[in-house]
Amino acid sequence: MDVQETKTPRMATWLLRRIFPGDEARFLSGDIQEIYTEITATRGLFFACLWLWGQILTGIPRFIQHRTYWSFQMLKNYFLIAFRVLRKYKLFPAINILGLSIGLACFILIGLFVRFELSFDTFHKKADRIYRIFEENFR
Amino acid sequence: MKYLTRQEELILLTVFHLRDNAYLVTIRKHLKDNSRRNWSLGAVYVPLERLLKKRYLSMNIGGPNARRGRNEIKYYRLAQLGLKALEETREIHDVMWAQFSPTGYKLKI
Repeated sequence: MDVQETKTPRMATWLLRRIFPGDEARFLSGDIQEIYTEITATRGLFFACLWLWGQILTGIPRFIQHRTYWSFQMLKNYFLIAFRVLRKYKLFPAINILGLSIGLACFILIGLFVRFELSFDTFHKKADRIYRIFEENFR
Repeated sequence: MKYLTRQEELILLTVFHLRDNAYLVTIRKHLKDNSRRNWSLGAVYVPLERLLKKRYLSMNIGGPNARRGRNEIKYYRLAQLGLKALEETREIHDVMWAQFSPTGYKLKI
């Protein structure tokens, strides 16, 4: 019973180990092996391969979605905690948020200003080597 | 408690039904035989894992099998939360489905 199984499933087990972290791949590949042997016994090797690849290919988007599901849950959890902190201690998060937003606004304004100043008369071909000298007279 | 989806409900019921022998292969087979639908591996595996993470199920690992190429089997069992969810579903079901019979219903007035 054991001899024929490990032919096609080798690529399948590799794929499973890539998609699933750690121990999970072993349990799954064991389950798949069991069904694979059963289908080979009842309906032949061809149907077994067909079944196996069908399952894996149609299952991959679902497996990947399942893996990323928990990272989204974690993100949602962080937002919930942030909301609760904000609601409970209104002043301190407000000061933080105010400071950060003022800092960000200053950064953006300074960046725009510098960009504006540097974009003066850039149509000259060697604009970075041209200087203008002027003299001011105060009377 | 939130509602169980139909899939989750069926899966929890099969785990309950196959007491000590509930792992992916047997659960899938039971579902295919009794729920008149074809269940792919992903359709069984993903909800199982989600129920496990939500602690409706617990798992234990045991017994590598010669047929499985030396890999251990992951058995699922119902946990306290899972039992409560199933109870609640059953109660709601009993109330809502009481005296249902399609023959007594007039389709047109």
